[in-house]
Amino acid sequence: MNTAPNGDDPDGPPNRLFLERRGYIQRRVIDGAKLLPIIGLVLFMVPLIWPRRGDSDAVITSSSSIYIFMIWLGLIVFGAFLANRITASGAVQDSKSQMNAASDTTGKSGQD
Amino acid sequence: MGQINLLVLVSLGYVLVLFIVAFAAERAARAGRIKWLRAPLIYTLSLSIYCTAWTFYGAVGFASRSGLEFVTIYLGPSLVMLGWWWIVRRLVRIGRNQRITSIADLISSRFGKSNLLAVGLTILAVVGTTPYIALQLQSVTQSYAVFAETSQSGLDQTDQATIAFWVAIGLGLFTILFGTRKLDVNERHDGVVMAIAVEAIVKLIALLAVGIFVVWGVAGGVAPMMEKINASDIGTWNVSGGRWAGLTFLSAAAFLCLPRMFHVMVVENADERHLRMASWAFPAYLMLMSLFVLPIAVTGLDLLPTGANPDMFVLTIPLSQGQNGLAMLSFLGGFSSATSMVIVAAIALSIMVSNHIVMPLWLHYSGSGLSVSGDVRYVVLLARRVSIGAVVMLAYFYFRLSGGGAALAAIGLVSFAGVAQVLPVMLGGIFWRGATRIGALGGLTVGFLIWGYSLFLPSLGEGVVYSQSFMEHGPFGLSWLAPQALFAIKGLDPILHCLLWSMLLNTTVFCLLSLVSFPQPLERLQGAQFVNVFEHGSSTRSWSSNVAQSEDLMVMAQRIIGAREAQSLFRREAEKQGISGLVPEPTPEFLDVLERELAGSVGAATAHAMVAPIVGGAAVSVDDLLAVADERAQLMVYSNKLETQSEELQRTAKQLRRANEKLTQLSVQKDGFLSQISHELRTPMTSIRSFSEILRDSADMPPADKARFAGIIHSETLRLTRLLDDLLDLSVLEAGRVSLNVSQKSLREILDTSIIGMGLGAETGFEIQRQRSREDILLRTDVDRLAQVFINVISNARKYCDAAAPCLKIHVFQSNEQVTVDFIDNGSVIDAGMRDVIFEKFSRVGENEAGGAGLGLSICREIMIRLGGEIFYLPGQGGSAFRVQFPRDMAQE
Repeated sequence: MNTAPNGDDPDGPPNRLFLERRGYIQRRVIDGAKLLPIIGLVLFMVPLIWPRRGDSDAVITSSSSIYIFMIWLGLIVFGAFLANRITASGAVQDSKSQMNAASDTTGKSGQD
Repeated sequence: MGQINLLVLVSLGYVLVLFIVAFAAERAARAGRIKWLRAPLIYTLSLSIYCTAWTFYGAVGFASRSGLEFVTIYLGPSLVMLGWWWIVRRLVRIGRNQRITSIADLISSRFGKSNLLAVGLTILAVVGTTPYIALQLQSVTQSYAVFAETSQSGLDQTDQATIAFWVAIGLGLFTILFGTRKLDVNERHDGVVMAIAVEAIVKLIALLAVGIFVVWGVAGGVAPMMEKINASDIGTWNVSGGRWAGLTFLSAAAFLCLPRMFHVMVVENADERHLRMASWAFPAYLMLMSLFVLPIAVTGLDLLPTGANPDMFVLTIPLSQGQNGLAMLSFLGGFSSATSMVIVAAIALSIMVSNHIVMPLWLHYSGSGLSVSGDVRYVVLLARRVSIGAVVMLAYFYFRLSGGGAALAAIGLVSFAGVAQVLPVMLGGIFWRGATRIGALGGLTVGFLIWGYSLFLPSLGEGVVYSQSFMEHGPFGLSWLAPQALFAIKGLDPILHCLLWSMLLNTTVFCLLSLVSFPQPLERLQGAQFVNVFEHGSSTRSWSSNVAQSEDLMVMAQRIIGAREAQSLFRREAEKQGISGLVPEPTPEFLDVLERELAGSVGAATAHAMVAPIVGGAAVSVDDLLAVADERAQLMVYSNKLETQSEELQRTAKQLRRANEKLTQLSVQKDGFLSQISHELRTPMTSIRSFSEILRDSADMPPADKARFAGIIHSETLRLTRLLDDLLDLSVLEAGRVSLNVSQKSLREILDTSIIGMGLGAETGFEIQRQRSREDILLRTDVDRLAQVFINVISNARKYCDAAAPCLKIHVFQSNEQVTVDFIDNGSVIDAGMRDVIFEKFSRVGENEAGGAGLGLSICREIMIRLGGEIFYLPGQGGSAFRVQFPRDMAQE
């Protein structure tokens, strides 16, 4: 079976139950890109439960700054990594025409 | 005044550089060198107009009042960009597919190209943005004032107003020059984008420079800085959870909904792939912008007298340390933050005003469609230029009226909360097909009313609109309606209070009204295109009739997008339809393309309104939608059919291949048959000829010999006759020309006749075992032919059975209407290889002299086929066994 380019298109109709390795990894990278802001939101909302000024052990600003900026940096690094992985196979390209062509050629064998 | 003069000079020089950059970029774009102009980095930097002067100067002030809380303003946009796959990517794709020109255009286009929505959003955008532009003017004048103070000359009110005026004029001119140069079908302004990219770098460098100076120049390193921070008033965590979460949400919402952000993010986006870089690079930019905010704030609190304005720390710290150069750089950073915001905001607003307010009005008064005269492009451009001037001047007057006090400084978050009201409708519009125009109108109205009532009007200052008692006790003494204590819940932070109630009620009303109202066809069509933007690029048609005249459309299109562009568009479309020349058929597809192109210049609602009268107002109806759906369904049925057909074809091909193989085999068989038959005929003929020659030539032959030879000749003749009879029989049978003589007889009688006819009895040494009781079946078939088969099979058994005491068992079964007769002998088994060929002509088992031409079983098989039954070899019975199967009543077959 030829490696159809529609394996890379995450928005293509879910006409294929299983993908070859490249397409599979591409989907997981996109899953990561979707998950990243949610993880970021949760981590950034951690300060909601920090003890505040007036409590006995209020968080000092240097610690809180380091926490916020480290998470920020981590998110940026992961974001860059994921964005480049998506770049590598050109998933955002408008591959509709390719997809149509591919689904023609792999129409039968693509089902399994 | 020397310092001030220098400052003015530097500002003018900076503006000149911006002009040159923008001009060079425009020229490069015209020359086709757009590759590096539209690079992902430029796109990322252009997003930085999010960081206005309010964030450049104000973030430090914010931080010196409430510590790390300022960072929420950057966290929201960071999360939005990191989550680009969810929303921003979708917005950009929709923006490109639908030729969206502004956020008002997006909402209007989504909800049935409603002009009411577009006008409402435009007015609200102007209301929300004008104070924000005023804020930028204020920050520029304030920064001048800071410098003036240090040069001991001061800056009075009139001077400030003059500066604000000239800044406004300058920015207005710049924006008009580069923002309305041409009416681009894609609304891209390479010059402006390039200029704001440069400004992005300037403000980043400025802030980083001040930060580095503060940390390493003043505090003496990171560790001492950290100690200083911890020892300061903002040394411990003191952010209310509500504000932390609420402001993060608010900044994220504003990032998506601010008209200027929408403009650079969606409208100016040249390539969807740029998002990949922006997704992480823009958060990185924001992080760098906020990295030194806290150190600067703490240093300012430490070094400067207690009364100093923390909003100006970025400027006052370098000045107090005698770092005039650094102060100048910092001033330029703030200046560029302010100018880039004003420029883009003015462009975004002018597009909205001209597309959604001026053009509809102009169309209304000058007649629409064909009766439009002159080049509409000039009208649009003029409208934009005037609106840019108006917006900037409006901001200037707002600045003058508000007096440029602290009231203005608070407008940042107030403005954010206002534009955030668009968020539910926008997200609903791009993710939920069920969102309707009524719902959107209701939600936006409720949201903006609450925002205006509980946040915007109070923010103007006590006594301006509301009296103190009104604020406390509400209208008419209804305390549960008090502007900042709605539903009698007091004590909330005003921003949070407004955000909570406005977003809650906005979303609720939007959803409820959407659920109970029924959308118009155009809304449903647009809804499907927006929500399913990634699924099928093929647009569903929004025009159904083709009474339009292509020439009329051409006339109109030329006036809006220009003669050359219109002609090339028409030629392209004509080519697509296979028509040579300039005039395509006014098919619905073509109308759709045309309308979208026009929408790129004047907005969806206006474009729709312009095409409609020419087309005869026959836009899409529910029936058309259903017809489209049917078409889709038919297409699917058709493709399914194709699939079955191709499967059928494959099956047929397989059958044909098999048939071909068989035919080849048959041809080989036929050749073999011919050579066989000549051989079979020749053998008896040879012996007849030689014996008749002997008889003829030897006259004195003893009579005994004569009789013997004559006997041989006779028997050979008989053999020949039998062979010829068989051949004749077989050919008649094979050709299917045999006429069957159907009669009734019991199976037992037929078997009896067959066995007796062969002259077989117990004394011959060939035993036949039968189950007579089971043979009592009345058959209705060609009795004689059946007997012929039986005789053949039995005589074969007799001929070939090589057992010492040969014995043939005849078993009879009947199931349903089928009769089965098995003939099983106790001789040796026929080789597996031979079993396939024994039914072929001239095939004989072994070189047996028993005679027979090997046609018997072939004839049997042909007969059985004619009788509707079959004969085959039955393996695994201990001897040679044949099974004969046929219907009991032939007539019923």
